[in-house]
Amino acid sequence: MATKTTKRRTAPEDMESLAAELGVPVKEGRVTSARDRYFLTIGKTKKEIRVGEIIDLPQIKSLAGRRVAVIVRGGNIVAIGRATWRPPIIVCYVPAPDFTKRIRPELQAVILDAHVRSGVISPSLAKRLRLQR
Amino acid sequence: MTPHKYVVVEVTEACPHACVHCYNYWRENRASLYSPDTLSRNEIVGLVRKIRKDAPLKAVALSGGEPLLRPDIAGICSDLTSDGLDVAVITSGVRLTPARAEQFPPGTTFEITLFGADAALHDRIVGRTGVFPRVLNAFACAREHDCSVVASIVLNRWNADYTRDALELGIALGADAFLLNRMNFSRLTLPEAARLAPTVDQLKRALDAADAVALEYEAAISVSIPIPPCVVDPGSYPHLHFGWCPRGGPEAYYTVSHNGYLRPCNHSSRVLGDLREKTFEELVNSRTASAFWAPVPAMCRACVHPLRDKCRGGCPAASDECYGTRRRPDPLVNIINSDVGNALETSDGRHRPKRDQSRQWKPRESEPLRG
Repeated sequence: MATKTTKRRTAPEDMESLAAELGVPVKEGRVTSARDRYFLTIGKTKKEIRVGEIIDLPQIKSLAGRRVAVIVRGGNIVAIGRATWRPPIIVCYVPAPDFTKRIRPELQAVILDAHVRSGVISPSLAKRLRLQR
Repeated sequence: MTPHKYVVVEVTEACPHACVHCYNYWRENRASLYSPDTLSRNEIVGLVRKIRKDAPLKAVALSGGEPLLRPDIAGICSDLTSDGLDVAVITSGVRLTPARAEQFPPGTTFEITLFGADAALHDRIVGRTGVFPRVLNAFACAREHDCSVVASIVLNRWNADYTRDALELGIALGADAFLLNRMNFSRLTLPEAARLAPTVDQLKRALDAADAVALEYEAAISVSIPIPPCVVDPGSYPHLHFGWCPRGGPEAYYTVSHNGYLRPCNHSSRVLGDLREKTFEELVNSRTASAFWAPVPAMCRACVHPLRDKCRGGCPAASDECYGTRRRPDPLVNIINSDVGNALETSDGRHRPKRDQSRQWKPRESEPLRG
């Protein structure tokens, strides 16, 4: 499905203010790629992203396969940015969704290195984990 | 309408593991993965939608058994996510591969069990060998696909003294938050209390370690299975979040069995009714449900601890499962504050038969509630 675009605003830090400006919510979606084409899936809707209009090729490449923040207005993709961290829900056993906070990446890096040195985490697994920070 | 925001769905009773602390009442009499009783994907999604007509649901936890045994589990998550719900999958993680993680909607929370930082210890608790590396891999798979990860640590006598190790490993693996639950008791695990229950000193050491980790790393650690303040005072651990039984309130997590029966929570074998035949509101507002949550043990009414009204005797489902009544406090109180022999007494004062006979026990359905 072809996608019309209305604005070229892709910086993640702009997402919240842009959404407020347009009076629409920031949605979550996922970027996938196939044969050098990029697609955005929001819920059950999948649209092709026109690279170069709302987002450049290096940017969309970095978002491929990831959860992204999206602003959609009138069926058009207005902006795509990296999704901000969302606290996980904890349901088993007593829900505690509002108290979670993310470990600082630099602290995680230190402790990850320590576990690699002690042999608990393999270097290959550590490499995968580092890429996610 | 009811005020409930959460529901647990046990998508299967099947599980490849044999965790020593497993309290599931069907543990030794599981329905197979392909049992005709087990709800299909459409039935599960349909029942959740039915619940939403009666309650402002925010999140659904898909539990088991091992939910990842179901080939359609990612599809169930997608359906629920498309309906605007947050979804958590409570899993051992061993079946999570990069290819499978890819199938889940981004933002899915995986609660992955992590019993220690030592492969032998973890596998001993799980009751299977070779599990530990697959669990570590599961964390990476979930993170690679932008899913959240909660490391779920269950404390027992074997691993309680290694709590810091487990938490630090979870941090290294990128866990977003931690559940630090002491083992809970059922008819199946109570006879093993002498072997498995952590001591008071162990619990205190474990909570000390967790509190230090929470402070040091700014980690979110939730001690979600209630620890009655008469056993260990939560006030000594200001950096931990302590959970209490919601007792049917807005935070309660009524549980849908694999066959569509509704239960008060995932620890209880009491059946409130068949959700396929009755509405969620009817079952939650039934006399059976009210009677389940009502009792506070007599000995707890004289409690003067500031947390008395939150604790109300600890986990009522555990008392019900172990003693057949919710008028006794959480079995942990008895196990830890006295000798284990007392804990093995039944409510009529006789010693409970040992494990061989308790294996014959079957889940109860629509029994009249005592108390």
